[in-house]
This record gives sequence, C-alpha cells and structure tokens, in this order.
Amino acid sequence: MRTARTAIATLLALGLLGQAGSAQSLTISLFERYLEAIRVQAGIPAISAAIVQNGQVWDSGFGHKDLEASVRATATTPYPILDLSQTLASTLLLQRCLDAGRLALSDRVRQWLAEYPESEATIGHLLTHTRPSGGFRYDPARYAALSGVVEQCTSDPYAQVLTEEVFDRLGMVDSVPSHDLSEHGALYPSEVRERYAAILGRLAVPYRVDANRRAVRAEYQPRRVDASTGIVSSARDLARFDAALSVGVLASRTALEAAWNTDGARPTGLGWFVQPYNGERLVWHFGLAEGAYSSLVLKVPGRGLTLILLANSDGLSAPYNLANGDVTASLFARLFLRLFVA
Amino acid sequence: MPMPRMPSGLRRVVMVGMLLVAVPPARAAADWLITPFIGTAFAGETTFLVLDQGAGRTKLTFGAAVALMSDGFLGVEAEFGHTPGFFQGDDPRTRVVLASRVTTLGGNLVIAVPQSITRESLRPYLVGGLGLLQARSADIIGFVPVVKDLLGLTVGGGAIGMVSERAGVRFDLRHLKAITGEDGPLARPGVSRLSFWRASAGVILRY
Repeated sequence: MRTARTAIATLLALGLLGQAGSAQSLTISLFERYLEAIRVQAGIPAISAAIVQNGQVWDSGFGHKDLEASVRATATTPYPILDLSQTLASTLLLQRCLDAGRLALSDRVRQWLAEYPESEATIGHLLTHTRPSGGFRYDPARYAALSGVVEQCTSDPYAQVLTEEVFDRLGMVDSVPSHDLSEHGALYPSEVRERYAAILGRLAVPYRVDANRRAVRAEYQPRRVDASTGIVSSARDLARFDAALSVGVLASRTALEAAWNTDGARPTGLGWFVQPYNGERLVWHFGLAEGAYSSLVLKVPGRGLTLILLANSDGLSAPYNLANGDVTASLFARLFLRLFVA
Repeated sequence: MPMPRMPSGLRRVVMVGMLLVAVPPARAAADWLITPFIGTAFAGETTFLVLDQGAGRTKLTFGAAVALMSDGFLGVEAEFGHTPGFFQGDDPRTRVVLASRVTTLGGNLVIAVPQSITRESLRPYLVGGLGLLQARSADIIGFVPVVKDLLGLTVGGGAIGMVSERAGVRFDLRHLKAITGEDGPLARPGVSRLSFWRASAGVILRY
C-alpha cells in the first residue's frame, strides 16, 4: 500500500511539474518550487539565486527587490554580498601574492603591515580565522586586515586590484567594488563612476522581517570595502566568478586545493568554510547584515556544483548560526544538498 | 462555488448513519447520541515546516461523535474528526505538499442546558476535553515530512435540536489546539504549534 502511495505521489509530482525535458531540468524545477516555498515561509522579500553545474549556469529571481514599488528580483539584481567578499579577497591574495611567489602563508602579518596588533599572527591565521594559540573563531574584522596585505603585495589599492583582476576581467557588469563611491572615486574615470552609480541605484531594498513575517524597510549603513566585506554584486555575476574560479582562471589548482581543504581541527580553508558531507567536501561562505541582507554560497567541488543565494533580508543566515561552521544548519543548504548531492 | 467531492471515508460515515436511522430508538434518562458531521476547518495555524501555506485555508472536515447525554446538564462525548489536505496550498503550480491531513480523536465533557428547560427547542451546550491530534504531511521529495502525534485540547460549544424522537441536528463550533510537541524551524513566536477552528453540522441519531 505504501509503495503504491509512493508511486502515485511520484506520478502526481511529475504531473504537477509538467513534462520535464531531463532529470536536470526536473531537479531545477523542484529546486525553484521549494526555494520559493521556503522564501515565503521565512518571509524573505527577495532572493536571487544561481546554480553552476560544470560550467552551466541556471539563475533566477524570486519575490520583490522593492516591495513598495513592486519591482521583482532577478538574477542581475545587485545586493551587498557582505562576508562573501572574503572569498574574493582570498582569491586575490592567492593569485596575486601566493601564486606569484611574493608571499607565504607562514609570513607574519606584521611583515606586511607593521602596525598590525597581533605579533605572532600569520597570513594563514587570518585566512582561516584561527589564532597562533590554536582555536577557531570567525572574526570578519580581523580578516579585513588582509586587504592591506594585498595592497602591500601588489602596490595597488585593494579596490583597484579587485576591479581589474575580477570584475573587469570576468565581465561582472552588476558588481561594484565599494558601496560607498566617494571612498574610491578617484580610482575610476567618470563613466565608470556613473556606471557604478547606476548599479547602486538598482540595489535591492533592505528589509527587516518581524515575527509575523511583515517586511519593514530597513536602514542599512553601507560598509567600506575591505577584504572582509563591502562588495556589491549579483547572483549572475557571482556565478561568473565561480565558473572562472572552478576552472583555475583566477588561481592555481594548488592554491585552490589549499583554500578548499581543512586539517579537520577547524572548519575553514583559506577564506572559505570547509566541511565533509556524505563523502563530499562542502566549500561555502555566508554573509549577514542583521535586519537587512544575507547571502550564501555553497560549493561541492567533487560534483562541479555551486549554489549562490542573495537576499534582501537576513533570512538566509540569521536563523542558522553559520559562523559556527556548519552549513547544514541552513534549510536552504539542506534543500540544495538534498536535491543535487544526497 | 462548487461543493467539494465527498471523500470515500465520508461516504462510509453517511452510509453507517443511514443504517442506524433504520433502527428504532429506546428512551432513557440518559441517551446515546450518535452524530456524523460535516463542516469546515478554518483559521488554522502551525509552526511545523510544511512549506505550503495551506494550514490557514478553509478545508472540508468530517467525522462522527458518540455522546452519552443525561436529561440534566452533564454528558460525555467521544469524537473523531478528519481534515484531509489540511496543510496543502491552493495553487497547484506552487504546491510542494502532495498529501496531508489532521485527524483528531478526543474525549470530552459536555455541559448542556437541561432538557427540562429547553424542552423541544434547541439545547445549547459547551464542550471541552483532551485527545489525540495527529498531523501528517508528505511533500514531493520528502524534504520536510510531518509525522506528529500530539496531545490536543478541545473547547467549544453548540446546540442540539431534536426533530423527532430519534433524530435531530447538531450545530457545533470548536477550537482544537496541540498542547505538546516541538515547533519546526522558521517557527514564528506567538503562533500555535497546530490549531484550528472547526464549524460543523451533524445529524443526531438518538438511542
């Protein structure tokens, strides 16, 4: 009887979803349906999503980036990506400093930044959110010092390196290196500043979602760009970054292997969280601005798979204490893993 | 608005009810009242993660009650209720829940206005008690199944009206609420773990 019910349920599901052309499109259809259901249940006004699978990109928007003006979110809607900025900083450091042989992970931070307060801390400690005495503690403010290291190593302002080596190189047309244009305005010609201003004008409106799932427009203090935060980007642009990263365009395979592995004593690689899951390795990061924005990127390198989610409330990250290092606490991550990995 | 198609379980309840009508009644100081009923479940709330937003929608509900009612003010009742599709949303394009139900089985105390006062007119009553609240929900990929057996509290009231020696009608409104169990993820504060209102009309068969 149970088998018959299961068979009927499966047939119904297939019927509800229409004639899917392939197993992959069926999986994407299911993901879209569940993601929208969870978005509504969590009261998140907008989510922009992308999935990269072996270089193929699917992306979409769900809900409204501006509820009052009834503007729908799309895959190109810009959001502050918050702590996901750390993965771009890590990539820059690996590419421009480590791969170029200018820097070693064992270098003391003070070798590059004389004023840095921790005398024993190394570049590796900052990248892995660990201390010389051992132990992991997620500390974005400490990680931010790495932008100074990149600047010392490349002799260029961090925002400029970011723009040239990542945004311009990969055609990330919805990305801005700094939410605050006055911060690095002198670095860019007027037409570029105008383009950045237009992108920021399309930014998803931040919302605070109350206990009754009512979304109230929130105040968000833009964050200065550094190695830890400050970048504005879209799901589609981050998919471009991911695809380039995965094929070794942005950093060497050796550097990526170091970035996406952990010694087991900590939940981090270099600029990424890393954890095992059902025989696979999960490489991920989250972003959180409480009461405003959140973000999540989850990679399964063994399957050539990446999920990218950006939201205009804190619902992707705030309920799940992701700084503890377990992405499977996230309902969104569990859905992705269930459909694409399990 | 078209009437929902009568589920097979409800058809069985109606058939049993019709058979019982054919049996002659026996008068006593306490009467057995058998009441198959049909109605709507509405204003539902849940903190279980079911993804469809169906719990708050109005749903068809049916069941049966067996009560032993004295001519005075006290009675006891055992009641079974079934609400298929409790958690399912309305839009098949966005629905992820394939099948769901809430089934209740409870024992209640009934406090009614004595028959000596109401005589042949409607007899109001209050009802309250405890019982089993069983919630089930299955989604397309089995991502967030709900399999919950909870202790439930019932409070409500209604009125009984006899149209003959052995037959009558019951109008009933009651609130059913889970008082055990745990909230699901994304639970909102102040929202019941599982609760709903049920308005029903039933045919009374008196023995």
